[in-house]
Amino acid sequence: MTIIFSEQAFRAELSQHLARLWRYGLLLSRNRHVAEDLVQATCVRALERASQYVAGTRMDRWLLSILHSIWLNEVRARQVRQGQGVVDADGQLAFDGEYAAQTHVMAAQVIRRVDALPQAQRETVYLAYVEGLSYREVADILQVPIGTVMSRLATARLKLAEYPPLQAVPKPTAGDPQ
Amino acid sequence: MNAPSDEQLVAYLDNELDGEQRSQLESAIAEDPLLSLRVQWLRRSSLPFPAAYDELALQAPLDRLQARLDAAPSPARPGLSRRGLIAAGAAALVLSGVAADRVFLGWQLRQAHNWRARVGDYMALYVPQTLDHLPTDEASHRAQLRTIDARLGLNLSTATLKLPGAELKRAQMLEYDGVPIAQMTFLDSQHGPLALCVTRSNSGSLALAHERRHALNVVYWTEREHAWMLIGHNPPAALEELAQRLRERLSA
Repeated sequence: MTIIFSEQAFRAELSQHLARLWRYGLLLSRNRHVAEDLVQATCVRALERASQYVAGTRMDRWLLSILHSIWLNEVRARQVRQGQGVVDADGQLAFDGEYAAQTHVMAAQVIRRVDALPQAQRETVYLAYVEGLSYREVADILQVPIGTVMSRLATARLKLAEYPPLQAVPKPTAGDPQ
Repeated sequence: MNAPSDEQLVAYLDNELDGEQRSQLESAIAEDPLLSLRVQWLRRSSLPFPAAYDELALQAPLDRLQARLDAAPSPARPGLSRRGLIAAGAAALVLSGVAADRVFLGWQLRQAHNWRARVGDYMALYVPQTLDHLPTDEASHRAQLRTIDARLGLNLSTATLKLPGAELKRAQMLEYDGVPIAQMTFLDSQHGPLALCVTRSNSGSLALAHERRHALNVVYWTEREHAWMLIGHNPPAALEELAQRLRERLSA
């Protein structure tokens, strides 16, 4: 028996994930406007591909992988437009660090430290430690081998370990990059 | 065991090692103070990531994101023929609301007075699962009712629509050939999908009447500028009771 997932139901479920998609878009782009555009593009693509979505499976993971591939294409397109060849996505967008300042002190420190990681490590850390995905799931979304996920996490953790412990009260001398 | 790599230590911290690897590594750490220090160092990077990003998610511009989702076009479903859909409905498959909507919209409304036939054709496709996954909170329903009020010149409220034994699931505008029809769908705990539908009419007020469409019972009436119908699998007498109750409240 074919189960057809209704569009209303599909849209209703999609709307449950908007905030999570937005923060993933923000993690990737570090720019609020780009994050919003990424979410919209993800919704459009998800609706186009609704027939590929298997009802009852984890829609959040499916959406994260769609957003990721849109982001990659967007980054590639920007590189082509700017004629920069293969470069890291970092530094190509206006970095809007304001969003971190609007969270509490501890959260802001965590977000700034993650934001300071290079793109590839940042998204791997995010999927593994924020979204709580297994290495296998992270590898599937990022379309890389598990070994790559492991080495990115190890490198990222070594960098994150160098920061001083999180401070509940802001201390200008604590050494967090602003 | 060879000196474990940082990757392996991180996989250990992340609980990604299988039982055997894990216990091997644990004994290696227990025996080697330097390795133990290395693990402690790496553990410094275990920050409260989910809490921080949950806080960030609170800043998401949800209204705008939702509006942009609402504006996103519906997918075309070229693979589904109407005939196939009707057959699917008859076979009581879990039918997609959108597919049903499209069947509904695709039909030509030959005359204004056969709107009940179109609603009947449409409702015949409903199974209880059609109404799964819908947001059922009061605020969503109020917003849906406001849309209907604006289109049809009504003043609906969730209180007016309260029915014994049936829960309001969704209120939406449907339209074919430019004739707007509002559909308020309920899930009757005993009899399954039940819908109150309304469209503009200029027939004046007419008393309750009964008819049957497909395997569904219908009670319909008109009240000043609107034609109403209540359609479902409820037995005629029970359906009339519900219709009577709605009519009194709606004309109050």
